[in-house]
This record gives sequence, C-alpha cells and structure tokens, in this order.
Amino acid sequence: MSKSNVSMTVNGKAVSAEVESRTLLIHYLRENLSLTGPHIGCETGHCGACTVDIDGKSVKSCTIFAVQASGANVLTIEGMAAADGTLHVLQEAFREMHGLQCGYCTPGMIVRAHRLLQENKNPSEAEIRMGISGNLCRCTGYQNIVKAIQYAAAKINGVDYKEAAE
Amino acid sequence: MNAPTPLTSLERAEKLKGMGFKRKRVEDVRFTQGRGNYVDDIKLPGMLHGDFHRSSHAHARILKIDTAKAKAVPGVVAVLTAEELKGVNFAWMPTLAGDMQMVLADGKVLFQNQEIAFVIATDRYIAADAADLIEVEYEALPVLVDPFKAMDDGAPLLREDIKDKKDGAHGPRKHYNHIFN
Repeated sequence: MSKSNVSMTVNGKAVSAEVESRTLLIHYLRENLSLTGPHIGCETGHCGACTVDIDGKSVKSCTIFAVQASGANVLTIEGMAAADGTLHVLQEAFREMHGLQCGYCTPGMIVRAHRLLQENKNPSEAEIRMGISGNLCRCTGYQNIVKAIQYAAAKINGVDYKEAAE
Repeated sequence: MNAPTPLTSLERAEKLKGMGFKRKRVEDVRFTQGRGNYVDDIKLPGMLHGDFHRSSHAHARILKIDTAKAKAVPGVVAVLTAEELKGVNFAWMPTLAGDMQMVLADGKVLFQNQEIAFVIATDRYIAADAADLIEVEYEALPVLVDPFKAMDDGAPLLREDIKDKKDGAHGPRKHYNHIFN
C-alpha cells in the first residue's frame, strides 16, 4: 500500500508522519496522535462526532484523508481549553446549560459551535439549529445544546444571558 | 393538633437536597474536553483490530465460507467463523429475552448484513481488506419483509432451530404486571 508523508499543525503543534495514503484524518488523529476527543460515530459523514476545524472551516474528519490536511492548521477539542487548563467559554457553557449527557457528540458539537460563533457572533436560535445541523446528538434533544451556544455567545459578547421562556 | 405549615416549593427543594436543583455534573469537565475515555478510545499494549464480513442476503443457507485469501493477508492474526466458535462452545449465546442467537452465522443467515466472519488483524485497514476477501457461497431462500405475512401459514421459516417451539421466549406473552391482566 503506498505511503505518504503528512505534516500539519494540530492544536498549535507541528506533527508529521508517514501514513498509508488512504488513512482517513480521523484515524490519523485518533490512532497516530492519540487525540481521541474527535469520535467515530457513524463512519458515513452523517453524525459529525468527528468534526474538527481545518483552516477556519468545520470538517468531518472521517470524510477526508490525512494527506488532504497536509500543511493545514487543525484544531480538535483537545486544543480548545487554555494551556493552564481553563475551559473555553463553550466548554463551560455546555456544562452550565447541561448541553450533554453521554458526551459522545460533544467534542464535535463544541468545535462546530466554536466555528459557528466565528462566522456569526450573535446567532438566532434558528441560525444555531441550522449551524449545528451536521452534528447529531442522541441524548439531549438539542434544546440544551442550543441554550449552551446562546449562553456562550452572550458571554463572548459581554451581555447577560437570558433564558427564553419555554 | 395543628397541621404543619406546608412548605414552599423552594423550602421543600432545599430539604430534599440535590432534588429540584440545577447541578453541574462532575463528569462534564472531561467530556467537554474530549477526555471521555470511551471503549473505542482505550489503547492497551498488544491490542488488535477487528472487522466483520457481513451477509449480502436477507435469508440464505450458507454452503461454503472460504477464508483462505483473508488468512493469507500479512497482518491478519485470525479469521473466525461459527465453526471456530463451536470449538469453544460460543457459536450461540443467550439473549436477555430468554432466546438463543448465533454469534456468527451458523449454517444460515437470517438478515442482511448479519455477521458471518470476524477478522482480527494488526491494523483496522488490514482487517477491512481481509474481510472483503472472504468468499461466501449462498443458497438464497425466500425472504420475509412483512411482519404480518410472517404469521401466515406456509410463511418462510427463518428459525429452523425453534420450529414448532411454543414455550419459553417463543410462547404466549405473560404479563406479570397486574395493569395488563
């Protein structure tokens, strides 16, 4: 099987390896780099549990080869908290608003939400639902995930978070 | 005697401790950082990868399973079928409902994508490659896709092992809850 050399920056760190050309990015991240935050949920591109950020775009890492990310800047859930361990505002928000139960979809959700809030600083509920429509959650029913993203957006924008009446 | 003053809901919640309160979950700190440590995240020395060869038929008799090509792939450690499992008395396993089910297809497949053979290899890609190389010879049997037609006289019989069995997991349903009696 042909091999390729891949070099990229993952969570601020330069990494490089010789991998089979057909190695999917998710397998490279999980098995070569031991970054097991991005999960394999469906292996078909539907669930979004493997979502990572590549050069400012949300990408389902089971849908691309590791070599396609050559030279790219990759961010996974492991790179979200500060170096001193302080949680990212989205990580805090998901905890605060109970945006997770089993936590399997959470790394993909948070990395996607992070990109969504870069694209749209103050998304409406509908925009959040559309923005995370590529990420499936089988526990929480999205209600609290949407609240968590609204909560994080409010924190980032320096305004008080007001929970909408149900 | 005076009846006690009813508690407000807040007082009641306080007395109950924990109940009626929003609590931050301890485990969320690691879940939100991708440190859930799910089974698929665990890596131990000497761990191998597995993959299945699955049935392309919904109902068929298995005439032959040829695993030779799969076993010849470098990196393949073992290829298991029902035959190998019989050697360790694990070809069939009990279900929670009191029935028995095949672990790997034993003589027949009863649904599409049923697991027929399991490949164990040093790498997940090798395991998948080898699983593809397994050749199964089938004799197609009539399929059942309608649960109501499954009750017809003369409907195709999938589970030959429990033909005419009328007790246990396959007997009339007994409800132990009085609500349903």
